[in-house]
Amino acid sequence: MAEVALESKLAAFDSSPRGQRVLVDAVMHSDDPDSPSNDALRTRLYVGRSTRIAQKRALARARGLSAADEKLEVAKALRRLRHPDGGFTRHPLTEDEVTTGFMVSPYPEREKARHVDELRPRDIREHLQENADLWEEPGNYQGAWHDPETGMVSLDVTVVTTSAEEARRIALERNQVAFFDAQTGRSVTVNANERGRIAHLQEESQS
Amino acid sequence: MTKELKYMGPGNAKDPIQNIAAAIVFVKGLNGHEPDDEEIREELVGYGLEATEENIAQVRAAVQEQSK
Repeated sequence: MAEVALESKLAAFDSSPRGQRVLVDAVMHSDDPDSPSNDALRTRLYVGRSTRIAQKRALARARGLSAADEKLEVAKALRRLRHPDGGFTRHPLTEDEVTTGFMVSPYPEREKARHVDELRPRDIREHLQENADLWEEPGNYQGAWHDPETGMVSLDVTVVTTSAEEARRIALERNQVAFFDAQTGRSVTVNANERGRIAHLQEESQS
Repeated sequence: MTKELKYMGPGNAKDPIQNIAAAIVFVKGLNGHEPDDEEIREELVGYGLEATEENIAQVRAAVQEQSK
């Protein structure tokens, strides 16, 4: 009984703006933010954020708000959680945000890389068209990753997972450099050695 | 800092004009490249649309809208 009460208190804390800030700080100010030992905290951050969104959505529905107003309520709640000082971005096409979760590419064979200076709209279209078969599967997104350390931009087919542990597992299995934690807005390096593979992709496309 | 996720598109081409505009805005944000009309024509044709002045104007308008 006491355990359930504690769990409930913890869940309420994790989904509050203060709780979210504490969790982000715990991850980002740890000795090694990319360490697997932080994955459980990252997943707690995700669950807390998802809970907050679900609560806001349910509240908006209970108040009889329109779908547009419901969206606005969720956006406001997210803004408080993510950027206490304001400011957020929306998807340019759907106006939705992929605001929570962990993004990772399970399809290294579908990646296309360019140096940032050489990237053109044509590259994005060609990648979209070359992978048309995968867009039919729900949950697949076209992702673009910029690695400032190498100057490379890789286009890939990205999926969203609901736990950091799962994202790390996929990244390791699929030879990815990193996965992206939408809660902290930072990527998590899993295998820096894979940078060589990304650079090689560009060489292959130029030969 | 390692990799940064910069863009997540919906992964379909239901609205090629919006897709072209999103790609233009994204590329410009990364390296400052601004396409001329010829490059936009190539993109329109690449998506199976006609490279008309009207379609070019639609792309330019969508770029403006998405840049807000």
